Amino acid sequence: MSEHSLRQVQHWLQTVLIVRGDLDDKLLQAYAHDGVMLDTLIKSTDKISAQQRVDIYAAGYVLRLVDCLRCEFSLLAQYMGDTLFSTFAKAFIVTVPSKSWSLYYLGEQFAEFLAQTKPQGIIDVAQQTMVDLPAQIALFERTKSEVLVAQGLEKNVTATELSIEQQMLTCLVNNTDIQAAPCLRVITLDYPILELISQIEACIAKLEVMPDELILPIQQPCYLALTRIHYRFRVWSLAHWQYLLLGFCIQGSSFNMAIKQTALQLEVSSDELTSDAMMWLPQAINMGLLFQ
Amino acid sequence: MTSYIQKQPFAASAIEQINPLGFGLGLRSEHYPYLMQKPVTGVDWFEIISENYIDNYGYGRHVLEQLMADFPIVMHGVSMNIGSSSALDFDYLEKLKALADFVKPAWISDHLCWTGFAGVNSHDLLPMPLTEESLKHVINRVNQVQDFLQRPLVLENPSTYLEFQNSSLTEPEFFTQLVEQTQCAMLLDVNNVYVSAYNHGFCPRTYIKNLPLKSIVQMHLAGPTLSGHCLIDTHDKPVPEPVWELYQLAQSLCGPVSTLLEWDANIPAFPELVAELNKAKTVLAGQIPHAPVQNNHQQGCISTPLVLAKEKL
Repeated sequence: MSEHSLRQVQHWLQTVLIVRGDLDDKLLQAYAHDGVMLDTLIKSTDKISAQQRVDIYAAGYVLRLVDCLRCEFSLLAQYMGDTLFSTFAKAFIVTVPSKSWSLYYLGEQFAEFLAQTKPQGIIDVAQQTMVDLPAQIALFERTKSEVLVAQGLEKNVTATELSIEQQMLTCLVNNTDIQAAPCLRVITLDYPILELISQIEACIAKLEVMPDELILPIQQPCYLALTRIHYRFRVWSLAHWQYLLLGFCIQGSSFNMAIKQTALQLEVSSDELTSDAMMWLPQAINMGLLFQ
Repeated sequence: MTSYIQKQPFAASAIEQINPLGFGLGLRSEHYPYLMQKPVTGVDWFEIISENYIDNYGYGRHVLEQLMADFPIVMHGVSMNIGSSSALDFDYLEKLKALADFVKPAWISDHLCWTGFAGVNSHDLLPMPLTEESLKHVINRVNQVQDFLQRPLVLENPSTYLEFQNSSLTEPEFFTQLVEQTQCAMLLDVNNVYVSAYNHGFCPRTYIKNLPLKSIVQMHLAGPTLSGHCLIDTHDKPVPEPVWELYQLAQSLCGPVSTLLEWDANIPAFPELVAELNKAKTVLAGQIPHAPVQNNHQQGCISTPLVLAKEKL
């Protein structure tokens, strides 16, 4: 009988699961780490070998986590197609093993991984757009995931029981308590992707594959606010100053302070921006971005 | 066997106070629209995957809160990592406790397994070598968890696809000692017994008869898939006849125990799940449904799919 300790067994099996390569490679690497031979640790039967038994766990580890990523990044999976998506998802899982007990964090670095691993040296603009978009879509979907589980305004008495008109009036009279909605996130992208997102969502709704002739966005800065109203996801396009203003509010600045910080960053008059911001404030509240 | 640690009287009395909840279903995000629009009938209680509601303040938490008003809730976890050689994750336990304070569950369960080691998480329910070392280790950790949560822990028998050469205890022996030493309770997954028995060649009926029957507070039912020479715990099929037979045996030995149907992939509409759950009642009345074990003809059969509850609004 083998005398492997619990710690040794667990280190060995986890190595087999998470290292790169086919099962033979994995077993070799696990042996190199722990000096454990498969047959000294795992029983074989007449029906199934020790190697096949371990492979159920090794294959299942990757398939399960790819499924989880496919669930969180369903728009991206639709856009890329299942085969290509699975290839990148598997590479991500092997490169960045999960460090959290929560699957919520599994996809946290996926957009960054896609941005870092996209093909380099492309000259053609259309091709460049094609390889840039996955990371952009992934960032959008990851941010959406955060919005959907964050604290929202649903239980905020002021935000839910006062009418929008009442809230607006209150804000115009006294805007010192204006805050960013806790579920608000702002992101900046290199492409205005909302139209593309709509096309992808339409394909998913119709259970169709992506058409060959997609209308792809042209590269230009895009500022988005993602939030939730009564548990419904909402996304809004922003002007640059609105993006900056909301960003400062998210960081904890008061509304008036955020106006000053934004004006300073944009090198514009604070008075001029205050006027624009006060005009926009009722709309921002109505959009679930700010509340009092 | 020597006693590893002093018993916890609070746990023993708490287990005795657990009453059967009847017939329940796992709460899944696919059913949120149905559950929020229709009067929910045909189910006595719900089981949640704890991790899907920790740090989740979205629609899922809202649905859960609505259901809590009308149904008992049980918290079933997949991340306690009770069998790991790494230190217990008290950040996780803190969040689990906070969720329990909100949900006020009938009980909290997890699995006799390990899910990660040295900071990495596999998100799989991995088997332990069933040794005296493992038993001592798990007893110590269950006691720590019960002290922290101030309630008995309920542990489920996992489905397994491999056995370790150095295992010296059977799973029923392991559970019997564990329950005796910690006063924890057991969630008997009847489908897991069938899966492991098929894969390792032991008698599932003998396995069930040798469990600490008085400590079983809940049973899980699910449908596995035959893939090559292995049964995989896929949770995506109707409960097959052999599992119903084991369920009938287990209920006859344990008395009425809370029953929960798990279905985690290719999830049917809610009324279809209720219909499948209702078969458990016919089994207890003596009628076994004739459902075969289904084969998988495709590659990529996933065991015990972990459910990431994606908010879909």
